[in-house]
Amino acid sequence: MELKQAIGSRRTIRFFKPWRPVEKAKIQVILEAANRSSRSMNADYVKAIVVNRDELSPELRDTLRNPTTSLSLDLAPTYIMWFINLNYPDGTKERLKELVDHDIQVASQGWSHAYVDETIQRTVIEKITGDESRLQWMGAIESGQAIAQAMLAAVDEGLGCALHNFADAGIREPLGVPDHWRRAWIMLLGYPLEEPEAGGQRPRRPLSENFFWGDAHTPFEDDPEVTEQLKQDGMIQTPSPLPWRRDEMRAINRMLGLAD
Amino acid sequence: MDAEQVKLEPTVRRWASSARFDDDPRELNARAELLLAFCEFANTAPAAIIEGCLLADADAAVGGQREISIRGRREMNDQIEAWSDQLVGTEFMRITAGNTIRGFLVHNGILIQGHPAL
Repeated sequence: MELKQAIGSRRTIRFFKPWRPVEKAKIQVILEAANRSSRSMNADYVKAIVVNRDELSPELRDTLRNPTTSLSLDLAPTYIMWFINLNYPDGTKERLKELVDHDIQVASQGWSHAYVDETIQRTVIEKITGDESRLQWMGAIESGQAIAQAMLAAVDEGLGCALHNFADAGIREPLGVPDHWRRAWIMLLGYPLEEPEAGGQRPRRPLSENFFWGDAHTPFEDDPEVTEQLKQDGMIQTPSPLPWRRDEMRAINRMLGLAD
Repeated sequence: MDAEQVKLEPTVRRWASSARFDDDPRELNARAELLLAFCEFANTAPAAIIEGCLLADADAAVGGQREISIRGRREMNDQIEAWSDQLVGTEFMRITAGNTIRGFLVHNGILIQGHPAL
């Protein structure tokens, strides 16, 4: 699948085939996609624990539930619990010197062993570690990039996925989650029971509403030819509502004995 | 209260309208019977089911908005579970009946999820 198609095809999938497991090889692809994400200081911002639903005891699975996540936890065969590693600044100096040695961080842009050894600690690292909001903000942004890449990899592998909030208090000790891992999202993975279009592409506001050119007052103007090309490439797809969506939901609800 | 009275309850009419079965008398009858059975089991009434899932505190009602009671909703869910467990019938039928009552809650503004019949 081409990148534009993967971006356009990603949906929050809410109904998975509970009987079809996710191949471990596909999980590896997803994790590698996360591992390849952009990250400042080449730090490890994100941690993840992969578990198959049926390998968790019912009691432990119940601890993950919250009002908006309960049903999908029963349907998705695999969960990836994403955490923000709040110890991400650890080892920064060593990693940055490695990048200097590899001529990735170069002198023409101000990088040297001396900078890393002698001034970065006070100038940068302690500014982050000493400011809880900055620590969390950076951790969240960089983890989000990794999770986003993981989602696109899942789509590319023919899987459905969804990010949800989850209750982590009950699983932290049994799964050995360290205190410095802060709960991010739980990614539910599986083969979609609903059509992969999942009701059609979600309504989005036009680019001009959120993106600007030159200053914050001049809306970005999209080019209709580019828009047309993106439709052909699959990034822009048929929008919701799809005419058969209500019947699809009714059929799935009846199949699973759910409220409609 | 009988099923005919249940069908006239504003919360039930709202449910029927929102879930689009108000023009289907058989569906309306079937769901009203289930709701009535649950009300008898829990010794409650349709409007009280909804109220039981909301905070009663006057401060919880601001600008026309009410706040869901986490404990109230959990207790109601437990009652639904207990009711559906004691019904006679297949597991699918019992789970569907419980989720029907949850649907009544959902269409009256209480976010709640059941579990699927697998």
